[in-house]
Amino acid sequence: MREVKKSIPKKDSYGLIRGLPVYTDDLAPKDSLVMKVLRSPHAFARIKNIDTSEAEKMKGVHLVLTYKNVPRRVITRAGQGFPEPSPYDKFILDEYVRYVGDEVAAVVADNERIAEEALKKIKVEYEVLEPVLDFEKAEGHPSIIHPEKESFSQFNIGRDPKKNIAASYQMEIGDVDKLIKECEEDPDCVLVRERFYTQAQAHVMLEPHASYAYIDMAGRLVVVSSTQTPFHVRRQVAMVLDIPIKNVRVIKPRIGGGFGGKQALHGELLVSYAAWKLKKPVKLVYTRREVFEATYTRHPMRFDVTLGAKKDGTLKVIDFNVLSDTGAYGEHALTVLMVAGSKTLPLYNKVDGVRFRGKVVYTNHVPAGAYRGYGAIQGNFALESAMDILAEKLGMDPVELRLKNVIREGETSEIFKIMGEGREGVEMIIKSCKLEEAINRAAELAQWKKKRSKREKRESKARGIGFAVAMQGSGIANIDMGSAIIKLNDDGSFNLLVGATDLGTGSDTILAQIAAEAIGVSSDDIVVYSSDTDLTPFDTGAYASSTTYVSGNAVRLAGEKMRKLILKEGALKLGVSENEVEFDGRVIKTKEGSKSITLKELATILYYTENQKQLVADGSFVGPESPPPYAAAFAEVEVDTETGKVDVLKYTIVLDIGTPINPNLARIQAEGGVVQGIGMTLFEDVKYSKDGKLLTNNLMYYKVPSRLDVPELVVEFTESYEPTGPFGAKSVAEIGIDTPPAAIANAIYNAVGVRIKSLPITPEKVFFEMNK
Amino acid sequence: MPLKILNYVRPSSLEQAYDLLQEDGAEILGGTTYARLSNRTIKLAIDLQNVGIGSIYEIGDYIVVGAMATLANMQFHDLIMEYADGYLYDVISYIWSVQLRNVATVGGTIVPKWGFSDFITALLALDTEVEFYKAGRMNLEDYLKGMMIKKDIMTALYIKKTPRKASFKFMRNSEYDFSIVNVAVSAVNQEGKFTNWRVAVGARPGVAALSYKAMEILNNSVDYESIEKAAKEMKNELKFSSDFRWSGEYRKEVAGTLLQRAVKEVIG
Amino acid sequence: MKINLKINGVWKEVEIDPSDYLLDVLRREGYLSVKKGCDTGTCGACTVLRDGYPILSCATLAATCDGHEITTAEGIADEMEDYAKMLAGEGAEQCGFCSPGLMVMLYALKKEIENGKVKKTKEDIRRYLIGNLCRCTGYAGQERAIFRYLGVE
Repeated sequence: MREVKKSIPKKDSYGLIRGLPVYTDDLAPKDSLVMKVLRSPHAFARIKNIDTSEAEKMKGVHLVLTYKNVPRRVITRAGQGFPEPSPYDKFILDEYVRYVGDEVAAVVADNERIAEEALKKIKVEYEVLEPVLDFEKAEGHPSIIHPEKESFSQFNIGRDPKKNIAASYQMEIGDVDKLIKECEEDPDCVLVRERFYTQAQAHVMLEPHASYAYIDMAGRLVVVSSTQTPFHVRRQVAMVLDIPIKNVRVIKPRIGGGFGGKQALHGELLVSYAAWKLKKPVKLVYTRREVFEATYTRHPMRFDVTLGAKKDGTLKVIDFNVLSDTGAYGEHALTVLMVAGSKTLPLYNKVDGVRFRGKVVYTNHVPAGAYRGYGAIQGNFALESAMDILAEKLGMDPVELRLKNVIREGETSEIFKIMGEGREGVEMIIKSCKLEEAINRAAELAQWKKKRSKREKRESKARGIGFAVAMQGSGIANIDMGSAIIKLNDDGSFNLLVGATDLGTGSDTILAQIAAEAIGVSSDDIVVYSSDTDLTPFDTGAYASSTTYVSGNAVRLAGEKMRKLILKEGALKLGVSENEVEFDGRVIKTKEGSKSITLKELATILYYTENQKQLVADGSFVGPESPPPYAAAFAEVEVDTETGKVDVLKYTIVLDIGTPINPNLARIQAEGGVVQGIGMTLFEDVKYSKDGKLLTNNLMYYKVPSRLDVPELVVEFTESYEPTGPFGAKSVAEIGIDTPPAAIANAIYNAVGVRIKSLPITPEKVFFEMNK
Repeated sequence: MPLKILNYVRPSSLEQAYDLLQEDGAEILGGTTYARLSNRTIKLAIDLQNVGIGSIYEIGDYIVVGAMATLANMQFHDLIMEYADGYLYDVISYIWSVQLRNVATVGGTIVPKWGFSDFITALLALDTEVEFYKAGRMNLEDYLKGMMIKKDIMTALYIKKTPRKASFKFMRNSEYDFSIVNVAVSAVNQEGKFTNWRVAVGARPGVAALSYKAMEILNNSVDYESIEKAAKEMKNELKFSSDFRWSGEYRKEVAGTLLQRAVKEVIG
Repeated sequence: MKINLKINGVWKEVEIDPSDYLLDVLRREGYLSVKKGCDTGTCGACTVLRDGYPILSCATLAATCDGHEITTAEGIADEMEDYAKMLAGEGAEQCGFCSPGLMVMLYALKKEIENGKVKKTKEDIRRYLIGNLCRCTGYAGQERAIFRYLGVE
């Protein structure tokens, strides 16, 4: 391997670091009209009257949109493949507003100032309805959040809107009630029953959501958006405007981070509708406050976990009962719920029985959606905290308990087949798993044995160490599809065209590396262009840890085809048969070495002089399975026993991601994931007012980790080779985020004997728990 | 809808600035850093950068800091770095970010009496006065306790160079945040005996206040028992309340701990 | 109203509204390296230099900059080429949205270290850069590049 397992800089680094205009708002035409959105001040209300006449009269105002003058078409903004597993429960604009921040009206004006003035002139009379603000009381609440008759789901997702249920799911392997009962009665068995809560973390990608739309010379609609899913945006925009998909082009320029927050649609529908109507460019750039109040969050969840194990540490039974809050709309309601089980429970695949049940309820909160590690991080906090409690009850080393029970290479879990994302899964024998090695190596790096046995305590500071393991997936099996086109240029370089969506992760670069490896050339000779629905082939988008594995495989296939084409054309030119030639990345030559031609010479001839033709190769890939990456992590913390303040001193994580295509970029993904996980664990508190207004709606109050909050990070990869992945690769995007909540909670328990079961673990919670 | 300013002026003397300020709807631009969050309209915004109140110098026993000096100007000034072992240098270096400290002015920080301010708490533990163009000089404590002084211009901060030893403690969860609560303590070191204690507690979340009970106890004796007692009395004396981020009860308990730590640091 | 700004070494007369913040004016004038990330003085993506000192352009009224010198990432990128390569070498620009602001900050930091105002230690450097948030990297990769650039062990 020459081009993969190699740390090369990102292809776009030059422009990004120098601050070239590469993001949506930088690229919008200077004469773009500006859209601003009037948002609901009420958590739940019906618009009784809306008078836009004063706003419309203003000089510089071009258009005012309300539910009265936009088509009433029910959609889902989830940004998933079709048919989506999310309910169709949203309108472009609606008579009902379902959370503080929901869209009431949109103004298009010459500039931001006029647009904002115009918003103030819209008179709205609301019938304020009683909101549902406690997700534990949502089911069967007298207020029904989605009374509309049009909303539906593409297939059965367990939705029951009359009871405020957006989705529900259950599965059971073995007779779990019976196994729990047996365990209760068996003196040789230990049972753990615990309840955990996780919060509505915000993505806080640094670039706020932005999009603009305009009409091109052919009269088609062009949408430029900071999106993770250009092809889904195209489909949805076409549907809402009721125009053919061929009349819509979606371009994703560079985007300033996504983390799942830009999987779902945001401003695209409104700007598309306005641009289509006005035949003028229209842009909508969210303020940070809008990003907080009016995009998506992580699904807050409640877990009731039961674990049963033999006294020797053999895990017998796991039961998960989950309640999830999807907020006002059901984007990703079912899938996030299912992942809370499907990407945690198979870790312990040797149990006699496992059950997973859950309901996802509507509330009048900011809608929840996709967020890096969705479901998995919530489930991991519950499962791995419970495992730590179990280890203590058993009097067993938590590491030994995991080693005794974790999944290993060559094994399977029945869950893989039963639970997919939104539907059935696929059978899968684990072909690459170095979790055991990862655990042992991480334990060694973190000095687990030494630090665990010798807990330090000095004055008001107590130290502790905690442990957790995790798994993820690599794309959604049988659903996520990526494709690639490679074409040869007349200087012997290549264009790689991919629908895959680089959110800043570097996927353009690693896809170039995969292409180069497959063709057998240098990555320097691969020019990447991505995420433009007119020019690049289809890709479901950047989510579910899919790009390296799914899109990467498509690129590998295209690259292998291109290599064959080069050999074929080279042989033709040299006047020999194909099996007589070889290609070393620069020169095509006969195996005995008598004749040769450089690729550059061949390319020039092919395009200008003889036998002229364009060499082009394509590849498509759908994952037949979703091989999990794994992680083992140790958190070392210091707790101030007088204030409850927790400092993470060191975070050690060893990951099995298969082959790291670009070790530097893989490491950054892991480090970035860990720190987002630490943020969710310790800092990122979400507060609502009593009447349902999000209070933590800016970066002064919603605290993401600063550089001084980050511990020493020790990241290593324990390499495996995934035979179904491109050159052995699995995914890396999400696995890093999963472990911190449980590892840190376990470490705090180890330090001060206090078990915090609700995130975030604030100093206030630790303090009062210690002083109970 | 952010702050709206209809007119902007940059007068070249205090007198001129003061006259302009008397106009209806006129305001001094000082705390524009936080004004971003407000949605009011200022008819006339008065920028004081040319009126000559930005320098830092010594007069007699006092360090004088012009109200238009930025927190960064103050932090790196030799007089500040030298006084009380660089106590204020340290305090300022933990306030938000370098970029903010380069725009936030001393006047803009003190005048609005921000409750979350670390700076005000730290100053209150010293012998400090503020000076207004018309209202003249007053103790910082009197200013904080009094009504907002409207239609006047803060010109300078006076820090008396009493030979104090001071300690500032804050509680934050993220390092890059406002303090949940903060405590500043100082005493005059007279040949190893600490007298004339000052104990200020801020971000309760109300603006900093002195704890006279704690000061009285410490002025009598400074030992393990009295330090604990000072913390206890301070907790009873001052009002702690909740905001949407932290509870008053938590603030109170932590303030007690911080007070004890600060006193111990002062006495070494 | 009209103001005069010396932007990246060139004086410019710019028409503004008194309510305009420097960030919006700079972007309007085409200095698009200056990013609006949070709009509340926290993220640091809008960092520029005023008379050589880093400030938050989102929290500074443009009118107050009349007659002052402003430096954006565009103005220092060539000088910071070595650093840019080191950051890219770590893959730590990631989405890049915070990169120009961080580069401006680092430019200022280097000068402060030379002037002896900031100590060349990891702790002091981190503290100096606390106002530059990054959500992609977890900071570690950025700091590997920064410490190497500044020659800190």
